[in-house]
Amino acid sequence: MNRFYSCFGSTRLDPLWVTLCVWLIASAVAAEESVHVSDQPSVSFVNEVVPILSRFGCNAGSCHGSATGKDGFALSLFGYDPAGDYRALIRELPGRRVNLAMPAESLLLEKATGSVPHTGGKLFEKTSEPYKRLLRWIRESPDFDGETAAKVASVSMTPPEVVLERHQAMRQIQITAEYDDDTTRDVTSLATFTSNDPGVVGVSETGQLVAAGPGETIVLARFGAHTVACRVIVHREGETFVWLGEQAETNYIDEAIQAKLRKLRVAPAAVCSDAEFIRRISIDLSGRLPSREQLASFVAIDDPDKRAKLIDRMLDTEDFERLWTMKWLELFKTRTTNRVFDKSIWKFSRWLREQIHDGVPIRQWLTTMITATGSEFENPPVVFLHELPNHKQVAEDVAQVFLGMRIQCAQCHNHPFDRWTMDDYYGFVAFFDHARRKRGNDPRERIVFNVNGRTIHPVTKERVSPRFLGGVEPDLREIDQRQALADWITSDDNPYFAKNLANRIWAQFFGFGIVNEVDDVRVSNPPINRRLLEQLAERLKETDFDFKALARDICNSQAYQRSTVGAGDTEVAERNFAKARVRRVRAEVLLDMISQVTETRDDFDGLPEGASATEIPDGKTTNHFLSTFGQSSRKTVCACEVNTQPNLSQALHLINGDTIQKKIVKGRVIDRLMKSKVSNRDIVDELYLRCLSRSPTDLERDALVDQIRSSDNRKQALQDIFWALLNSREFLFNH
Amino acid sequence: MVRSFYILFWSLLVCGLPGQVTAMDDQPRSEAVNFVDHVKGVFRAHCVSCHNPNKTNGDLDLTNYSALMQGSSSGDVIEPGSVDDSYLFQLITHAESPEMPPGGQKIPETDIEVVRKWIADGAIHRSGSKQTRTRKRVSLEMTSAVGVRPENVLMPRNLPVKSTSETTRDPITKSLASRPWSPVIAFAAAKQIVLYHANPDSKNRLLGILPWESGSPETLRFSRDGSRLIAAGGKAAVSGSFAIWNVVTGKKELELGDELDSAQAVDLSADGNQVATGGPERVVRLYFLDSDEADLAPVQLREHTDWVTAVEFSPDGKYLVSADRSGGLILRIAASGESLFRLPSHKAAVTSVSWRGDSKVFASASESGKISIWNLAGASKGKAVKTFEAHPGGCTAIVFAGNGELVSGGRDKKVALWNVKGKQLRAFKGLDEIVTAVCVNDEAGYVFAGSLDGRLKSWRLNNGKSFGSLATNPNSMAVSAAE
Repeated sequence: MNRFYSCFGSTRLDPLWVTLCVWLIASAVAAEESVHVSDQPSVSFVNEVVPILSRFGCNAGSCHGSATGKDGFALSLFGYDPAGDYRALIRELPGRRVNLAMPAESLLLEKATGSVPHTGGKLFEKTSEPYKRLLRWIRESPDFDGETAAKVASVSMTPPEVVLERHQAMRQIQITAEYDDDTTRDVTSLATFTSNDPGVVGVSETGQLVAAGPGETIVLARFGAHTVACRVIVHREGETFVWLGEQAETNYIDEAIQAKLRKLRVAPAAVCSDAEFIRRISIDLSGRLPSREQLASFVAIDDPDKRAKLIDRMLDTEDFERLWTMKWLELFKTRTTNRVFDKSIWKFSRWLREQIHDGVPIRQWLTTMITATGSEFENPPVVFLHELPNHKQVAEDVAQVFLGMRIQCAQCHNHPFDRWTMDDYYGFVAFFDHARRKRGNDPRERIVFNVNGRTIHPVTKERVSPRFLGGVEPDLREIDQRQALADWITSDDNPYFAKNLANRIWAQFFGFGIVNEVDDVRVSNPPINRRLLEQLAERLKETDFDFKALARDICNSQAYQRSTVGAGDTEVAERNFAKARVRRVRAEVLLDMISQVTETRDDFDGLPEGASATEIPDGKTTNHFLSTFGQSSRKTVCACEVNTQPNLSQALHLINGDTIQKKIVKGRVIDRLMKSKVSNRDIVDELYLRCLSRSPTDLERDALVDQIRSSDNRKQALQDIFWALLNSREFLFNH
Repeated sequence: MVRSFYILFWSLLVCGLPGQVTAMDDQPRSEAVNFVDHVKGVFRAHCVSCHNPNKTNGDLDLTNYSALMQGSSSGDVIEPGSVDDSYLFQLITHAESPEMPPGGQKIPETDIEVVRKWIADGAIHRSGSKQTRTRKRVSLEMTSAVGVRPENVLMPRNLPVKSTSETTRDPITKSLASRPWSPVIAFAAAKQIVLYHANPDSKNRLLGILPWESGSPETLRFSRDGSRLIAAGGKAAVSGSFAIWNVVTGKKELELGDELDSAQAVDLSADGNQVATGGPERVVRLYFLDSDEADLAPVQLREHTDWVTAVEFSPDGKYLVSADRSGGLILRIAASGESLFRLPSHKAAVTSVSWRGDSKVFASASESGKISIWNLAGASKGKAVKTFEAHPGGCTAIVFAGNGELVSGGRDKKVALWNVKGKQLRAFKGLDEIVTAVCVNDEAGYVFAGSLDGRLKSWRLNNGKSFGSLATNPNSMAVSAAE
């Protein structure tokens, strides 16, 4: 301590010296104060600094989170690698980004406050909370606390649901983090807020909601790797709403929907007519139109239970099994490639159809597929694992198909809009790391077998043990790891499986999931009606995952049987199932319907002539009509592969393409009608009932009859009417 | 002598620091607003991070007058005398889009007013008096020829020892330099340069503290004859410059440079006529101090693709080596800066280069952890004489000792002595953090190294024996002195 004493030579008390001493002591005291450690708990790097970097977008993909960084400074995307971020800040260029000796001169702070030129602009003030916190971190505890800091266990938003009564109404939301050491902290100032629809509600940087227009939307808050969502309803100002008595509630589904509608102040549409109902349910359950006879007898019967009885009958047909086999095969990506051969696909599709036909519980055949080993020819469920040895792809597909989650983002960085981290991802992938696939004796045959595998975490470079999504590591001493995974997925305690399955079944009947898209379950995409989804999932569990039983409940609900008109015609009403949605019929079913009414047959590669398009097992088998109308190519597991969006090429194909015209000529329906019926009126009626499951209105009938009379070629005129009906939106849509 | 020191010190406290005023700031200001004095600072504060010679968004460079007047990809941006016709003005007032700077917020009204008045006044380059101004020719007389011990080596005398910056922790030693022919070392830390006696037995170790107002010195060198000290640095992301001091008197003889970021590398040629700097702008700037050019405008060498991290003239003054953060290493002719050979050695950032005293061999160190040894014959074929792994995780600093051996430090927290064949001769132990700088004082026979935790440690060169630490924190010096 006396090292510098000598440079002053002596300690005699000369006035100058005294002054100097006083000055130096004073400055020493000042220095002492500047290193004064406050009473507040120390600032955590992983729990506070990294969230600040996320909060202000520093580590976003467009800024320093990009793979090569920005302007020479790279951070990990959304903070997936805090240790790497710490290195970049403190150790990469010592003293520049963080200046430990003179904290306020750290480039980190100067750039963020715009005191020096910064491409990303000014992010916060020197008086702001984030500035103070970063400064305090640099001053007091600039250490890496990745190993010691309490981990965020959960993040919650209060209130979880907000109803704003009028334009410009405001509400502050609060974000609370719970840590694994049982402490909680208000992290509102560190969270990032976004509104899914700023036209309904805006949200400020500090979490203040401001109503912008009537409607319903989601407000998201992100804190570190955690995202939470809050549903916001904004009512029309000054609107008075009276719930018009109880609608007849046939089951738990209607109860849940009507509870939500009351909150939204939306009155549901009325129930559809019998004719509308039989057409709708025939397309949905059997993939075809009702015959003229079925239609007439159903409308004529006077039985209050006739709809329920029709539903029961249709659920027991082969048509229903065929449709659902097709749906599952799409999700299992059955498509011939140079690694998967048609024989395997045929065997697999037949096996799956048998499972559904025999009523094997879904949890059982699913387990068989996930755990399968052996030859594709001898044990067809092995085909499900055809992506091996790409374990990541198999794991991602399993998560997306059975849990409805897209975890692939977490392969390279923590999921920005969900809770999944890279640890979750690689833990889940590890369930498949022992599975391999090799060629069998037959050159087309493939065999799946188990070896000793290992999964390496790309950031920590350490081996990852199989771990369920959400953090639990199973004990694998007594059980095969894929069996453990299948058991976890299908267990009653799994929080995702039953809901995902229920949601997929629901979407089949409404064209829209309760969570939409059905395979995009994430915190930031919450269900439109949580109670409804939970009850459907409970019902599935009660019935041992009998999806037929759930389909029965859904078809019997008022919600399914509602008209497509009424309920205010708003998006909110439609999204909340206050009315039926007008849905474009999917490609395979549409082609079958056209063949049905024109009495023609199709010929698909590898299938007997006259087979239904819904029976095609191979995603590569297609024709121009099917591909134009959005048949799934079965290249990915995404629900979006089946495209039912109308587009211009579809319209052009119907008008100019040869499918309809050829079928009308080939099927000779008009010829037979001309032979059997005399009056043009009757033929027009017949065509309407055949195509649209209803009789023409007087106006339509008179106009068409006039048209035929004035034509000099009767057959041509009738064919034109038939063609026009098949081209009509009423035919192409289920309503 | 003690008394005279008090008086000097006291006068420093009371009057601030004289001697910091350079020849550049003594011009009277004329009435008209001009680019150099007024507008340049405005652009610098708000615009140049996107409009500079390296990143000319919209093909616009706002760092110098001639480039600005050449306009952008949209044509002329300044119409002298007409504010309304000046595109740049329309954009910064948000009268037209794209609004500048991007992001919605205008630059402060006072700054807009400066630009408005400048354009209205005719958008002139500099004030009238300045156009006739010429700079004094700088002359740094060297005291001896290269490699020859000067007859009379004077120690620094009566330099101020008052620390001018306060720090909350021991600052990191950014750079260390050893004075040739003399037991003196210097280190750069926290806005000042501290000179120490290199011999631990010396009574008076702290020889002086040279304050540097322009920011933080990042890098230091002594001239080959030991008479001068050159430092470069600046304010990160804002400005960069270098300064030269007379080591004996502590007088700042020159401060120059107008860079856009803190310079990371500097060297002074043996004859004192040339200075090379490098930094985040990816440019090596070569200043000719003996030139008659009015502004001493540097030659800008642009081959580097990333931050220039190291430059060094060969002791004989023939060559210049420059290196960058993406592994680029270029051997140049010193007189022109012209590149002779690009040396494809390192896969990661080059952190440090050093010439051996005989000018025949130089070494480069890299974040890959390797050190490469080069001679001219090898360099012409693009091959190093020897490349060896020195510090796993990254070698951060190297320097040749007078005996031709090499001292290095790295991210592995180690300091070591090597021969040019890559054989480790000695390890210098005791640091607990990343080594940020090393130097060897041949005169006293000591090795010094600084580390990330703010320590500055010394060892005996010939046996590796540790000789304790030197304080890097100016405040702790102040406290010690007061006691």
